Amino acid sequence: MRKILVVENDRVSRDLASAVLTKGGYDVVCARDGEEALEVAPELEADLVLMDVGLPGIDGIEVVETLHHDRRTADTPVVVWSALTMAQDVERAWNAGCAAYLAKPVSARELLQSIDAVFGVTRERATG
Amino acid sequence: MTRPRYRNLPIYAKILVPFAVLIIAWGGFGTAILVHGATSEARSRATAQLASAFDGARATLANEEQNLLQVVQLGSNTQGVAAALARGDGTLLRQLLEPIALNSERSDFRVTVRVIDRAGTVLFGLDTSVVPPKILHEPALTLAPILLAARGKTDALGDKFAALSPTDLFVAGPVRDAKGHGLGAVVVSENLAAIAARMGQAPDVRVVIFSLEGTQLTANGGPLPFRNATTNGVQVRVRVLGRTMETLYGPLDVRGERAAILGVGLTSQAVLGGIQGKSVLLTLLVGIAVLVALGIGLLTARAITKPVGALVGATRALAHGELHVRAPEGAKDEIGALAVSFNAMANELETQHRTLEKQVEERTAALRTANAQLVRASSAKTAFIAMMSHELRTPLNGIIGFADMLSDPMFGDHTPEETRDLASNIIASGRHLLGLINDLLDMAKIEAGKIEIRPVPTEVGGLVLEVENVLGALARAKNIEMTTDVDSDVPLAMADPARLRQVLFNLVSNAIKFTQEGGRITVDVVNLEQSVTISVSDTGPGLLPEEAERIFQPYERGSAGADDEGAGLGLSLARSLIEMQGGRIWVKSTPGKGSTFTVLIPSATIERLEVAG
Repeated sequence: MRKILVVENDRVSRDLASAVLTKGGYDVVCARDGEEALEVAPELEADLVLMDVGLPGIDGIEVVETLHHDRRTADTPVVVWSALTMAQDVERAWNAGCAAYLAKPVSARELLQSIDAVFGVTRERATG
Repeated sequence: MTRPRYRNLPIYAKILVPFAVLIIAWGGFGTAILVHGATSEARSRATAQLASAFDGARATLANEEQNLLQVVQLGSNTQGVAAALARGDGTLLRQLLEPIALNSERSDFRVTVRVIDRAGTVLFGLDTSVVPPKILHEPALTLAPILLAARGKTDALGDKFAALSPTDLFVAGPVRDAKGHGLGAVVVSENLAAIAARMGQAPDVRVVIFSLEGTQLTANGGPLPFRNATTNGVQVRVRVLGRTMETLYGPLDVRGERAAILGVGLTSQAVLGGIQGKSVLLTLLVGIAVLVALGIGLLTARAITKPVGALVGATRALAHGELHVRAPEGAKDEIGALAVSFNAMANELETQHRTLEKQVEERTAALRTANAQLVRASSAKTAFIAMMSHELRTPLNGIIGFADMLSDPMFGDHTPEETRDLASNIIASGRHLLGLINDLLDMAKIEAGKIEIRPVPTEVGGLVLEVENVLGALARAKNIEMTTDVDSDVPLAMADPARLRQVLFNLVSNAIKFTQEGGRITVDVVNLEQSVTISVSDTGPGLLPEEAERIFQPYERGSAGADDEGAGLGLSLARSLIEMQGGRIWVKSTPGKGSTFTVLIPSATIERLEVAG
């Protein structure tokens, strides 16, 4: 079972990601801010990180850059989802080396399909 | 050729032109009068001179006639002359009369003496005007008056007989025998040229004797043209050989008979020579006077217009923006008064200019400040819009995401419990969105001045507990210790309960938001000098000193909340709402240790305006 680290400070969005990805058959671990993410990520051996940008304290993009500099997490793909949708926000995310960028609001289907696409998975139903 | 027009001339020239015209006209007129006067005087003097010369000439002739008559009488009365004449004895006559002929007292009185018989035959003749005297051999004398005398006739004039020949003046006296019978006559004559020489004594005077037919018989001083003058004193101006002359003509009578025409003349040069010199001098003097008058006029005009020129220069300089320039005030005349007025005006202008410059500087500075504020407000608004987009998208993410899970067959069927869970998330997100929108609307209302506040006596303690009940769960979820302390003597506050609750809700949820897990939040309600104060203290990150005031501005957030959710409107709304209730709100904070937000509301017992002030 693939493991996904969800970094999201907004409770509702976090619950949504958790619910959608769990339904999609992934093992979900949640972090509420950047510090917590950096704490758990190196030992977690996650297969993918779903990263929010507007986090309190350390910014989501900075967290991504830090993870990329860590040997243990350098190859872990990152999908960014954010309510910051202006051109410079999107560019910053791509520059940080994300695998996909999702602009909130995101439908459940779009979120799941985007994550599946990173793994090269296609499916008819979320439960499998 | 362009002629300068009078109205374009400088003022001094304008003043000078009529003066020059007057002076020149007056000078010319005066000169003309003076010259004319002198000329008239000279002319009348010339007329008198001419008359005198004319009369002198006639008197000379009459005088000569008288002298000749004396010689005649001397000769005819000589003893033996009648007898010798009767005998025709020329030799005896010579012996008798030669001494008389030569015996003249005057050296210039040289006469010719003749004795003629009744027929006019000359029996004896001696010319003494030549040296030596010469015996004449002539046939006869034919002059009518002389023959009258030779025949012993007597007429109205008695025994005086005279006549004029072309060359001589003749006077004759009869010689009679004892019976009174005429035997002949003694005739004495004098050359006209000699007489004429005595006529003109003055220089520049010409005396000419003409025959009645116009032949010039003799001339003294120079020739004159002939004028047939039938009456005395015909004065004419004639030109002779290029010289203008004043002349006077009149008849010359001998023995009451018109015998010749006498002409006297004066050269105009002699008449007017002095006058012309005087005229030149006069004209020169008048000219000098005119020049002097013009010079004085020019200097005067210059003196008048010079200060005007200075004034014009000052005016031009002022017009070119040289506001410090002043006109010389000089004399206390109209121009001086003008200069004083001008300087007063320039002073006023300079003062106003300075004031204006100062005002412009002040306003520019004010505008710069306002502009900086606007730029800041504008960038704050842009940041607000970006942030609002983020804030609205976050609850929408929950709504759309969960709704999609419910509806999309991809996520299969849900148990009733799952469905409720998904729906409650959608509702929570919807409420979050509604809160944001309400804040925005409140802000818009406040900015438009359309919010309504209805203060009533309100028990603050109850409101505080209400807020604690709602938010207590949130605090407990973050493991935050929250305590409320309401003093027992707190009076009723004059407040709009709904708005005060909104503010307290905002302050407490901020405190929960910014306080780390395990932190502490304290709400104190205290009675403070007829007012009620509500303090919300937290152990959050605190605020930098410069942020303490700024966070109450719309769309502004503290550094700790920069990336956090919230529109940046809460504290701004809180301040507006509290102030509208006559209260105040402020914050005291120590970075790293926490913040205390305090709301002061007037108690219901006193007028809120007094406290608000």
